[in-house]
Amino acid sequence: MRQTQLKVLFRFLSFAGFLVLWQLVVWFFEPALLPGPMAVLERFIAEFNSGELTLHVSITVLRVLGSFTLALLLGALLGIAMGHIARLDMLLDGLVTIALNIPVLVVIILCFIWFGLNEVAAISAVVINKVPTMTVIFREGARAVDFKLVDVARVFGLSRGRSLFKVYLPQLYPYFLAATRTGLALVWKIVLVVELLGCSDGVGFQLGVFFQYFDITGILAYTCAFVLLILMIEALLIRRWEQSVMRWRE
Amino acid sequence: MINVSIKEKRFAASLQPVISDISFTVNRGEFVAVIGPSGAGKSTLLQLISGLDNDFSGNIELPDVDGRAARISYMFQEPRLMPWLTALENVRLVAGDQRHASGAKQILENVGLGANLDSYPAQLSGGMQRRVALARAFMHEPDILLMDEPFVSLDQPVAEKLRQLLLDLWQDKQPTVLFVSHDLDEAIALADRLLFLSTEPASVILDRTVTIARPRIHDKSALSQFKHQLLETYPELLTGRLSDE
Repeated sequence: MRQTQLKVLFRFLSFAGFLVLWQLVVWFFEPALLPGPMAVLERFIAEFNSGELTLHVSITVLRVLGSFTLALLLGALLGIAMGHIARLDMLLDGLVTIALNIPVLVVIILCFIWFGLNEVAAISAVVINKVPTMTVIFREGARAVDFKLVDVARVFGLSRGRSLFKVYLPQLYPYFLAATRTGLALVWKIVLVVELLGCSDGVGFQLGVFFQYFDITGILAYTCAFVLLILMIEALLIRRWEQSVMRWRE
Repeated sequence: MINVSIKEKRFAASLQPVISDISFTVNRGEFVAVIGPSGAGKSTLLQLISGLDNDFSGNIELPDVDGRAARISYMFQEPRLMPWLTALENVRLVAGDQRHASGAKQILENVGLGANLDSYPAQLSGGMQRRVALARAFMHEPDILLMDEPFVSLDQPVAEKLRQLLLDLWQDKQPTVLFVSHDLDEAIALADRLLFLSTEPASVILDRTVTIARPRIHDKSALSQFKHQLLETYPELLTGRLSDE
């Protein structure tokens, strides 16, 4: 318990120290291209009150969650299949490796060219970028499944549902967690690029507008809002889920 | 009545057979121990009878009970509990939805784990994990109980306690038991009948009824006398041979 309190304290100290340092730099050097933290906060409040911030952030969050969920499901299905079926793995392994190495930007540009500047293209771009890494994670998971435990389910004649949810899938939960952690962190970064290049709303689009006007305060205000939101999702949802799923390891 | 007649079991066509020509029958409610040197295909035999492995030539008949297929419980060499389920959840896992899951607590109390219902397997000692596995096996209300050296690598006192527990549960529920072991003392103490296997490829070399009256688990002199007589007649029995030829 003391250890965790210490951790929270240090986290707070480092964060507060960063803000102080930022403010000091602005006071002493008065850089033209770096607004102070107070200016960013004021802008944040103004954008929030006008409703603009909420609109763009919520659109982006929807895109992140939608494309992430889709990528997770497809990656899980493909990865698990490849992990269990050696021939399928041999067939697709090379393609997955190639897909892993295609630059994010190429996929995004091609999707917009082929599907047009619309939501389908935006979501597909993210999903296509993300599925290969998810596939690799779940292939590892499926390979690590302990069939001795599956045999227990078979010999005791468990129903399909029970075998799946009590015996098989729990072995993959650590991989679902790993995929969620790494996946979410990357997906929202990809979504911003997608929005910058081909959408007319969302945080990425807004950042592009601010860029054209050299509006650095706006860029920082949106960035802070978005980072805070992602951290909250992480702390409230993912960490709770992890704790409930991983309790038995303590 | 279980009717086993296996002609041959190989793991690959190119390899030597693991089992060749094993046939025996086991009566309903009988406790039969299968004894053989290690690597004699004893575990494979149980895999085949359990239906986990169907790839063999021959025939295994398990009787229907009350018009349904016989229920099988299998106690493996390792406890094979689900690490993410508590002791109670592990036992409940095998209870059919229609059968009362409430019995799980009772069975765990019977095996002396009433205070550990909510412990995860990692928090339990090896002996306690095996008790959970034993409780799970009986929770399933088996008609046939397959046991693959379930008490191996335990301290003698713990193993002794678990054997007594097994006998109590067996006498209470009367399942047919096939108990694989390489420990002759354990087999004589527990079983109605002993089946001795040869080295690979395994076949039955001796089928002997244990004539000592129950309860006999603490009757050390009768047990060791029976063992000595057996080994005097067949000195090479435990290495899988009937005589020195």
